[in-house]
Amino acid sequence: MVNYLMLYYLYLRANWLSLMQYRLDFVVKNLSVLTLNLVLVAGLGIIFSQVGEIGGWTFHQVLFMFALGMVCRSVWHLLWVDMMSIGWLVRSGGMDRLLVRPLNPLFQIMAGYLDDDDWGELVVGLVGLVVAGRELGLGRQAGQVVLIGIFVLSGALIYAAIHLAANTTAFWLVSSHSMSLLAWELDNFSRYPLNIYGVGIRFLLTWVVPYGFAGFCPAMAFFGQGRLAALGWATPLVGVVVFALSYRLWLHGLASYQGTGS
Amino acid sequence: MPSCLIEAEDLTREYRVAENPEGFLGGLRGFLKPQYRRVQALVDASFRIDHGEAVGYIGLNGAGKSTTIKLLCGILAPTRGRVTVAGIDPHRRRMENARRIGLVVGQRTQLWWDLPVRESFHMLRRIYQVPEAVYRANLSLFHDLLDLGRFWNTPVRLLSLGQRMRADLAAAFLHDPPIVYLDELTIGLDVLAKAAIREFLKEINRVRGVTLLMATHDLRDLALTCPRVLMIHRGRILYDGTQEELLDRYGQEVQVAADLEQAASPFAFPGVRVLRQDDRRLEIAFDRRSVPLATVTAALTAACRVRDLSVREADLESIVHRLYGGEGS
Repeated sequence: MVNYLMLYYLYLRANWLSLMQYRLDFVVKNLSVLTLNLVLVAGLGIIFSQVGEIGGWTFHQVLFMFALGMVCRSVWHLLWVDMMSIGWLVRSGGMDRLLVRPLNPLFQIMAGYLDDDDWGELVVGLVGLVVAGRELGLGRQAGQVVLIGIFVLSGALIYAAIHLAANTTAFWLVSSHSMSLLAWELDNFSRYPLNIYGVGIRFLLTWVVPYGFAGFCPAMAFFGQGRLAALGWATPLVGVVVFALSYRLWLHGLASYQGTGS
Repeated sequence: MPSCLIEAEDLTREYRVAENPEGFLGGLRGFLKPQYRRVQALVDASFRIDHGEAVGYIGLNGAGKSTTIKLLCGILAPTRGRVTVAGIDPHRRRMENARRIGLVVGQRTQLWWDLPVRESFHMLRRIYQVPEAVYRANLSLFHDLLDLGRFWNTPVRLLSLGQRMRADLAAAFLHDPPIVYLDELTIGLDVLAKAAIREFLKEINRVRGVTLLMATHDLRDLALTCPRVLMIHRGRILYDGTQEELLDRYGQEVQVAADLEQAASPFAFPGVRVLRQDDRRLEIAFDRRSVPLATVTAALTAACRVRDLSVREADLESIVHRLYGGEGS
């Protein structure tokens, strides 16, 4: 375990050094992602210039969950997005390389890559959290900050679990692009309070593809709103459980891996 | 007596390949009701490799070499049969096996693409938990034998293919594995780079006693490095013995091609097969032990007006052909 932590640090270091080989590329990509995310937040502002609230939520409440979701997503994206290349690893036989090293193969995938272009989303998300938090009186106590940190990690774990499960289908389908894309697109629903959707989507995003726990549910816990506010406090537990389930699926898929012809 | 390191018994591996009818409708039918065909990549292979041996594993493309290596690395599970490497089942105890092996695959690199070569070695040292003293000793040996110093601080993506292969080789031997598998590692390399790599392998096998299993389709790769040869064809091991004997028994056929000045009457000579003859060209093959090359060329130049001659030594294809056809000796 200690060894894995040490290795995780070394992998991160190597990844960071790799990113810094392409500095200009890094800066330009992140400026574009930053712009994209600013536009998304501006969209939120435009909606609220027309209506007073969405699903009973004020602008700053929606901004808070919106930003919390961004931070969760970007933490997953920055650290672990390479799980989306599982399909490629299976098709190209690159999985072989991971299997001949004396390390957990999923660890190698999760540690082996640091994303270069989602830092902009992280920045916008953090700024959004601070702005909304000040308005709502959240984050003044150290305890609340720690709690937000725990929710972010849990949310990132939920993102990881969903994308791991979707991409693990590659072991059976060989190309897992469809599943991966589905998981990616469903994420778009999670940007707004789930109570504005019909019961079907709400159920889907809470119990099947639980993006709701990366933003919406923890925000409800903070605001003490809705019948399911208590559910928000269970976010860390949900994160651990869904990741454990996805990991089981991954192990199952890995066992049926047969490699390529050469 | 040397102890046994790898033991394979009736080792068999099948792949399931989806096979759909052609065309759009066929594709649709294949989607709704996939048809599978079983392909046997390795059939009832039994062999032993002892500690310290250097074994060439030869076969044409698709013969089953890579499949065998994947089975030995634990990447694949056997469909039937059994294999142990240093006493353990490599698939069931893959991680444990991984600590004791090195693998170099010609077209792939295990190095960190964007970083200087030295960074990959720092990483591998930690991954394999190589003690400091061993790490230093090995690096100094590799610097001497492979001249790593010249590109130690160069990012891997900027290395030439020959340099990258040398770095990858060193990386595979860094943690003192008792066995290293080499899969088609000289593909695309020039003569000098190949020679450097052969020298290194010979040296490391001799000095460190590292066991080598070297898969290749190029006989010349083995010439100096591997005294023993396993030959595989269509998933079956056709030959297991010394390289010398293989060449002696099956590798004595030479082919001679002649460009002719003008058309000649059909060529015939005892012990010589005519592969092809037309107005401009004549191609023949024969066993050089029963018919000396000089005799044949003399007969040839006497019978036809020859403009140009070329002689081709036995290669893997011709050996496989003779072995498979049951010819020879």
